[in-house]
Amino acid sequence: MASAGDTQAGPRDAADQNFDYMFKLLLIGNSSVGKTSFLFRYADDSFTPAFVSTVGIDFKVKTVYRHDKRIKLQIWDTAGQERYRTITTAYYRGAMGFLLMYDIANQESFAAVQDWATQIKTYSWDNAQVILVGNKCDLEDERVVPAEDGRRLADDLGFEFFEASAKENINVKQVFERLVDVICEKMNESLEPSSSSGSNGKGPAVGDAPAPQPSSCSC
Amino acid sequence: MTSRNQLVQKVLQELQEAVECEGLEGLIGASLEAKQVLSSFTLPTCREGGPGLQVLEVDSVALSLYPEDAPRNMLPLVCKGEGSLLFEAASMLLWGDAGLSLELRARTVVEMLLHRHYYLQGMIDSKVMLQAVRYSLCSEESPEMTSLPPATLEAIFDADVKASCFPSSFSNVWHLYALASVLQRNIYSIYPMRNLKIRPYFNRVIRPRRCDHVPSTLHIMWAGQPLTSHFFRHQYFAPVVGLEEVEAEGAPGVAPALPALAPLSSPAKTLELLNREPGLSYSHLCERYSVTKSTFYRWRRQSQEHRQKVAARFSAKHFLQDSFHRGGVVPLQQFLQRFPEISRSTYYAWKHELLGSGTCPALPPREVLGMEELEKLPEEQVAEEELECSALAVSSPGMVLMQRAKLYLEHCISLNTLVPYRCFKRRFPGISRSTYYNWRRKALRRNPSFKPAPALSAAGTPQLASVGEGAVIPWKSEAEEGAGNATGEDPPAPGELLPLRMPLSRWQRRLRRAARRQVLSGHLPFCRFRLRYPSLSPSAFWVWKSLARGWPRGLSKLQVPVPTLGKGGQEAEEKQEKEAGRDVTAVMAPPVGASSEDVEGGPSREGALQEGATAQGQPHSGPLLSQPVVAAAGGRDGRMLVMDMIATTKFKAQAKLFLQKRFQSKSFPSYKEFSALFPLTARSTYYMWKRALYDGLTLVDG
Repeated sequence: MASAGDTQAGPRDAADQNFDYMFKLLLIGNSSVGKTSFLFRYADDSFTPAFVSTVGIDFKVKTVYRHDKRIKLQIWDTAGQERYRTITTAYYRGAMGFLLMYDIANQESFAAVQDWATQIKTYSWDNAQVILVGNKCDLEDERVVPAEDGRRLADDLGFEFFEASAKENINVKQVFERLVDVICEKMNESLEPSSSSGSNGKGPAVGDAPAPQPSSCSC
Repeated sequence: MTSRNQLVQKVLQELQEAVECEGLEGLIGASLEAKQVLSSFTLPTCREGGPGLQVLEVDSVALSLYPEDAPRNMLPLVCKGEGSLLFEAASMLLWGDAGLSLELRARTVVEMLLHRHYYLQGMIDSKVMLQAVRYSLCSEESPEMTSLPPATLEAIFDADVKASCFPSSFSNVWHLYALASVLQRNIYSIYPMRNLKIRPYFNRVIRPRRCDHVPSTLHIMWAGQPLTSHFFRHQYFAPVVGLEEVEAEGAPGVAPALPALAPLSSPAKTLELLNREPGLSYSHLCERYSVTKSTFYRWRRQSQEHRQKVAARFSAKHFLQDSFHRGGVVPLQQFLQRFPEISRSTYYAWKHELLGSGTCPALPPREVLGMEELEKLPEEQVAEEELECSALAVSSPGMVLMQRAKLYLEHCISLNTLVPYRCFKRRFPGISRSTYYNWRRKALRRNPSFKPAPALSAAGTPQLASVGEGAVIPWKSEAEEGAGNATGEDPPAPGELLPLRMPLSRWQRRLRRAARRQVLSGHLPFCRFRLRYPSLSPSAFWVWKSLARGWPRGLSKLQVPVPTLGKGGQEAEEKQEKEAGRDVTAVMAPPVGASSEDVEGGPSREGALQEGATAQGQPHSGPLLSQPVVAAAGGRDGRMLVMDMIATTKFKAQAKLFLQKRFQSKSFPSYKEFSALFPLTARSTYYMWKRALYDGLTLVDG
């Protein structure tokens, strides 16, 4: 009965909205790895060389069309400094996808990936999808983290892996498209075996978006 | 509802599109437009034809976190939806389902954006809110949170507001404050007994930003995932309802019930409905109004008690009306014994109302009773009149005065002393002429014994009685002829007066005697004579006036001090005589013996002696009798002197002496009275002498 209610509520809400789905995504990682630049490149296709530390939290909205569906992405940009850690983790709840970023020219940021992964497991829900992104791949001369090391770590953590460059606009769009596809796949998988999931207030088990039709996403 | 939902959806879409722009300017502009749209309709105060009873599920996880210091007998319920469920919880509490959560979301976003300054830098309550905002982002107090810069707080606020434009967002403490302002209600924020260092910031009553009435209170609980016995992670909000709303108190699982808090206007409607339909049952009512079962039964009991009280008052007033119509108002003690629940003031108010309205319709029955009274005995009439008097005395002083006036008139007529209207009016100035004549006519009809007086007069002089009014005119002319004869000779005067007195009725003779006495004393001017004795002819006044005028002149000629003192004493005696005469006219009945002797007639001197004995009964009767003779003789001599010495000083001295003595006796005469006695003295002279006397001067030595 609860599932039926959710199913009925979902399509109606989708019909009333000007989008079919809304995905909440978070960009996390050490300070100055390029999270804000990455978001601006994808959302506004702009790049600012000067570094301005993010103040707390912010998000941008971008609507994309994927497989004939309008998907509104709510992409949250967080402050990477240690003193904001408690703030940013509060916004992990309800997030469906994470972009965990490190700087290929900064060994310290790569070493912190493991800690960030632990935070995701602690504060988010089990269904969240994560993509590990090695940013600033255009700085080949200053590379300190080989691509192979990044890929191996991602495999160990169960994450997808990309190397990208916000400055040169390399793999930025591909990263987000891949994240959306992975979330859709996970939604389809989660709907079939556990259609009778409980209320959202019941705890970590509930993390799905409004329930779509099983055949709605053909990816 | 469809159009309402479409409007809300449109508002949210516009807000969401504004979020995609850079900065807050676009979003604030969209909020202003949204405010205009949302202000065109208000939040409903009652669920309108929604679905029937819903199955409300108790949230067992939240129940396990319910603190002991929270209100007792309340349960957290489960809400369906995504995000932190704050607006779904509020909608559930107010309207029984989450149907209005989107509208509450839109209104809260507008409230936060348009009053951003208040929520970020507002009053002390807002400062507590800012502290709570810091700590709501973590489970434990930390130095980093305490020292967050304002810029960071602003960034968090802006991000939270923008996120709230989308469904399934997560609310922070400032959403609770804004929601309280949107709903114009207090929100009791219930926080689990965990995270104790930061709990005081969250477990509190949140008040609206501004409220012009005493708001009711909603109960919303912070719920989430218990971590340890001391910590929990907040994930959502749960609506909390009173236990009385859950019919099956022992079953925490499923129980059909309605939310606790009724809309503000619904109680009045439901109570009114109960008054109109006493037999209304709860099952019929609960589908239409959001009213708790205990509230319904309490109102029904109050409604029944109210109806019983109204019925008791109605029967008491009806009893009082019946007793009034039956002819008497029940006394207070008897009334209170029968209806102890009615207050004394209510009894008097009803009584006053009945007596006030009952006066007019009572007149026709009184006339009927009046006719019946003609056939009753005098004792019964007196008894009934006393009852009427006591009854009317309760109503008003005016009625008492009228009743007293009427009784006085009836009493006079029963004593064969008809009081003229002018005399009656002087005693009772509030009675109109028509009322006087109506009462007199009724009293004359009711008192047959009054008629024998004219019959007796007719028996004495049958010719005069048969003529009627014609009899009066010949006597008047004869009186004038008598006056002319009197000026010539002494002996004919008494002879002429004797037949003039014989045929008149006793009260008329007595009236003429009193008037003559006053005119002779010189204290009664012509205008007052006309007012006081309208039935007497003016010529009689002038006849007596000439006699009185001769008297002072005679005294002045004698020039003896002893007569002056005698004159003063005479005036005092005449005043007493005048007052006594008036009382006799009003109250006393003359002896039958005196009446018969007057009818028989006799020598003039003998008649005068008898009159003195009857009227005065004073030791000075002897000197009084001797003075008229002296006055008559002096009158003729005085008149000759006046014709000879019209401008003599003695005449003026006489006038001065008169004024001076009146001034000393504190009864200064008016100009009219003075000119009646001394018509040759000018008005200016009178006022000159008056001013001199009042300035302390003396006009005449002596």
